[in-house]
Amino acid sequence: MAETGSEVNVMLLLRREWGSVVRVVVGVLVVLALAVPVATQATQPPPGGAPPAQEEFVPVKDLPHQEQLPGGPLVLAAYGFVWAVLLVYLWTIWRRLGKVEREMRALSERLKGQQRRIEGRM
Amino acid sequence: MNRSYPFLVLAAVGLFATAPVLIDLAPYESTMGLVQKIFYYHVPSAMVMFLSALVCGVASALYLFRKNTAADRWASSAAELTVVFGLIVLVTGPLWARKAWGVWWQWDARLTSTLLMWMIFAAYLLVRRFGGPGAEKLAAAMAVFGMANVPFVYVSVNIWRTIHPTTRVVPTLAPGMRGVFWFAVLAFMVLLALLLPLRARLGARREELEELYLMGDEGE
Repeated sequence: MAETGSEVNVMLLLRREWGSVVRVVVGVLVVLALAVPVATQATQPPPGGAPPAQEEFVPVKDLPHQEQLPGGPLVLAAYGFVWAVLLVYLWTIWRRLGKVEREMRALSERLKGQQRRIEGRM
Repeated sequence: MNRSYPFLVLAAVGLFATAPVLIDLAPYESTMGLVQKIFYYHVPSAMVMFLSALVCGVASALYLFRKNTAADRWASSAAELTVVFGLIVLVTGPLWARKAWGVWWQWDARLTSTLLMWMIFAAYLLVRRFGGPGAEKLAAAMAVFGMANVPFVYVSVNIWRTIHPTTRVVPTLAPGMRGVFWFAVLAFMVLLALLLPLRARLGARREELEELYLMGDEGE
């Protein structure tokens, strides 16, 4: 079926409109592609330069738990534990040695008594 | 134990009395601050733990292959000290880690292998205490395996990925930290030289007591 003159005109008009839409979309994408890296770069601090200006004050209590944890009590706990373990260990050795020495003295006395009884029988 | 023992006692008292002052004067580490000062007791304790584990392993091997009972006495003494100093390492480490890493414990190569080594020597003491007759030989074999762990624990930080500082930290210490660190190491080594013969003497006296009991039984 042959196309009428008015239909051809409409198609040409649509094709021209479509071409301009495509040009606008491509233009917007090019602008975005160029603008995004520039925008993100602007928000990052310059390497090696001064830190960015402070935008808000953060109270210490709002910091993450790790950062507000004081080191002093941990150091004291560590050194206290070392001293406690060493002193307790020394005390246990002294106590065990004392017990063995007492047992040896008692046993020696018993053996001497046995010896005297044997000699008395002879 | 000989005549030098009182001098060793005096040296140990002097070293341990001076060490906290020097540690206090040592410079603060840039990222960890005050909590890094745990290092001056943590690492020397680990060194003493390694050394006593090596003594225990060598003495146990002598007992196993040459039937040397004196070596067995030294082995059991060294095993006890390995457990004591290992406990210090395993407690002071997490106290440091809580601030430096944000966690008490991490199942990484160094921490896990140290815990396993400590458990081997704790098991050694349990076997000797409750193993019954002949347990000394089984315990001695365990000690040899425990000793074999020492080099693996030491290099674990260089081989596997870990958050624990590597073995390069000590040789590259800053001058202000280096002197204090080696002073603390000396204090702990002198302490080991004091405690090891003292504990071995306890073992020797126990053996004498057992012989006396046997004599008493024979006399009755």
